Amino acid sequence: MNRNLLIALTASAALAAPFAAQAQSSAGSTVVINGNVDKACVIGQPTTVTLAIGNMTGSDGKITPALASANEAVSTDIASAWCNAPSTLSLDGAPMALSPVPAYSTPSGFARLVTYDANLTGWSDPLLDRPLIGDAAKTVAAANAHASPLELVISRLAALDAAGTTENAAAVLEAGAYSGSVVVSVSVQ
Amino acid sequence: MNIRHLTALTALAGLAGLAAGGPAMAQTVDGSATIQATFRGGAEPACRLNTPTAPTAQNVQIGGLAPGSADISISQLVGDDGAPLAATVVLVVPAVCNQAHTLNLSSLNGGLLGDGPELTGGPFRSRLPYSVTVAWAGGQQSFVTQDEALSFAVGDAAVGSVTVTIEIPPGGAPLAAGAYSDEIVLELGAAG
Amino acid sequence: MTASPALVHGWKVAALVVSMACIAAPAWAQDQATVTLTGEADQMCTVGQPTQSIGALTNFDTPSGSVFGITRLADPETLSTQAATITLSMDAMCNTIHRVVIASDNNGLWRQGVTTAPSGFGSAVPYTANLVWADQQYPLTAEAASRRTVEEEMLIGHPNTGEMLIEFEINTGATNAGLGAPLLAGEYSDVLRVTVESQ
Repeated sequence: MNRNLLIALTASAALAAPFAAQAQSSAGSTVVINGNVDKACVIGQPTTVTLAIGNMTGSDGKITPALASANEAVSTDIASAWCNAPSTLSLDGAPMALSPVPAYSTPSGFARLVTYDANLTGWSDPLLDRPLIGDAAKTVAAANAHASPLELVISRLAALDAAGTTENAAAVLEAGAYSGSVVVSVSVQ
Repeated sequence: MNIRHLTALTALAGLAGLAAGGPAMAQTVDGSATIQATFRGGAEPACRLNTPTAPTAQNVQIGGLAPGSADISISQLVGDDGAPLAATVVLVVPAVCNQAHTLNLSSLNGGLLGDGPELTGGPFRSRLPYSVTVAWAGGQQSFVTQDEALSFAVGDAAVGSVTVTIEIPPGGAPLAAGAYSDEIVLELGAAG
Repeated sequence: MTASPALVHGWKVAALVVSMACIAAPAWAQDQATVTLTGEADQMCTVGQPTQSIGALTNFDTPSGSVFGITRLADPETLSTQAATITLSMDAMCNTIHRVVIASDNNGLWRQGVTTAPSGFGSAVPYTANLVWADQQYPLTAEAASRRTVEEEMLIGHPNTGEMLIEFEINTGATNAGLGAPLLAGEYSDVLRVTVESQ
């Protein structure tokens, strides 16, 4: 994608220079050529689209100390993200949720929602999202055009209460499969 | 009973197996856990004799009935000629033994013994023997007090009543004057 | 980019035709990438060793390990059963729908050894063991009519964690030969087994 981008720029640059039309008579005509570059952002595919944390609990049914720590649990990178104008980078994670959702509500002492630290680095400033149900995306602005790879690191897993708004480190996870999505987006301002 | 529930996931690390005693949790990889508790108690070997009744009392007075004891007073021991008169008493003693046991019956004096000097010859006597019949646990034995003791084994636990029949025979040589007494000891003993 | 000369009635105008090669993917004012996190929590049940719970303890020795000894099973006067009660407590947890099974090996405290009892004597002591879990109660009745395994099973339709209780009770005079019958001398015992199992 980088290669294609350069070609387009080159073509635009060439267009900017006036074309000298060759006229056979002394009467000349001038052709003015203009070109536009739209403001745009492109973000590439993550190297790993599904990050499998695997088994999350220890023999007491709670999130393991290793996953609860600040050490990286899983990570991936996005080889390139760019915006050719001032832009906003947005990071929006959703808590990992048990699926399918059981018919009964979360029993006392248990959890079926897991939050985590999602750290996104490589842009103008780093972004951190620790998802809760109903919270907003985290954003950071870049004042100029920006292009860089991005890295997303997941750590510090923790169980949430039934509403998904408060952490409950003492909760045992209900058995089953959990998933949550992390959306990275760039948009021009 | 324990259904193995296999999951398709990687094995859990660091699980403790079933621990014997102590605060450890019982847990297995297949999502099942079992504990056990043993309850036990002992019934000690024992026999019990309760308060007797005297459904038959001829020429006797019964008193002092208490668990395992009775006082028998012969109303009229001898007739006008000094010879003993008949007397009969049947004592029914509720009893239970919770394992194999032995019944022992003994006469302290070998008969009704007078409190005067012992007479071994002559027209008067100072000891009056009598017979005792014991029925218990489907068995019955008799003895005469001269034999002084009776014993029979019962091979199992038994519950019911020990029937003790005491019969003083009439007639025979006259008894010398005095107070006559005897003590019969009935024992049910559970071995061990 | 291509340039093609064109002759128009005396004029030679070279018109430049520029075309933007659409080789690259279209660029938008906004773009996003989604990463999905996945993880699992294994099905798991745990139950701790039983200990004596705070509460009524009648005619039981101070517990030691997983053996609970009745201080005196038979009344010294009647030779029949004496009352005995104890409540056991265990921490338990299942993180999914599960079943709990309480099972008795003997269906009562049964006398060890030969148990052909003479008429009128008991050779087994019935009891009730009430299992308390997940805000519900499940009584196991070991009526001692015959020596066999008995069990009660209950399905709990949600995860549960907390204290599990067994309320164990022997009534005065309870024997398999009728109320108040004397017990044969000997040692009486039974084993209760509690299983929690994910479904």
